[in-house]
Amino acid sequence: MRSDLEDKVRDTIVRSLRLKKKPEELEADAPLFGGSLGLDSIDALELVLAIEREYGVRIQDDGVGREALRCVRGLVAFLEPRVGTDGPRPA
Amino acid sequence: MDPDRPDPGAPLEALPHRPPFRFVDEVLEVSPGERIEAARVFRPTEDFFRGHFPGDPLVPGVLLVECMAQAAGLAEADPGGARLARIEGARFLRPVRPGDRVVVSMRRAARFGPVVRYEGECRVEGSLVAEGTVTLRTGPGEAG
Repeated sequence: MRSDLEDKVRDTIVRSLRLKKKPEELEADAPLFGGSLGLDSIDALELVLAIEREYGVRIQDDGVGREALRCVRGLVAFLEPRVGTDGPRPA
Repeated sequence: MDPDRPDPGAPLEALPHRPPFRFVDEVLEVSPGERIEAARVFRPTEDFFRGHFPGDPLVPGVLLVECMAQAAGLAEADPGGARLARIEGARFLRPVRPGDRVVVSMRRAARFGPVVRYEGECRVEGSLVAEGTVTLRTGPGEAG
């Protein structure tokens, strides 16, 4: 079962990268970048900025950051300890 | 300074662009990887003024974006040449005419991996003429 955070992360990915997919169609473990979604390093920057804007969490350009951006599940695992399973609370 | 004969010692040489497609001819101030202020004089003899527009010469807005992108590339000082990958929020607020000296100011807003984003503006005699955000891919790449 998906958490609220995962639903929100899927929505953030689809919206910020303007994917022609529904959030629930993203595979949890499929590579976000360099895979079938056709996303590249420009999109990685867009996603990093969207995560910072919407969750208040900065993804650093290091091994931890790159692992977080690997797939939906990686991003949820990265965000969960930082924002909780419900995702960010409205300001 | 004549952009066709740049000072070989100037940081302009870090830019892969050459005349007639060099749209920075003077670096006024630079903090590498952070910000830059540069200038470009649009000479009345520029070829594009003949067609843009006959009897009403005007610097094309896309060339002001190119000024912003080249200035940002200079701030990155990427030896391979940073390549323009995305343009956002470009606005052209006042006409730029033959003889105008455009001062372009860009500051780095974000970086992740090989991708950098700069936002900034162009001014002529202190008046805002254009603004926008450019995203560049540094290192080897195909865009641009």
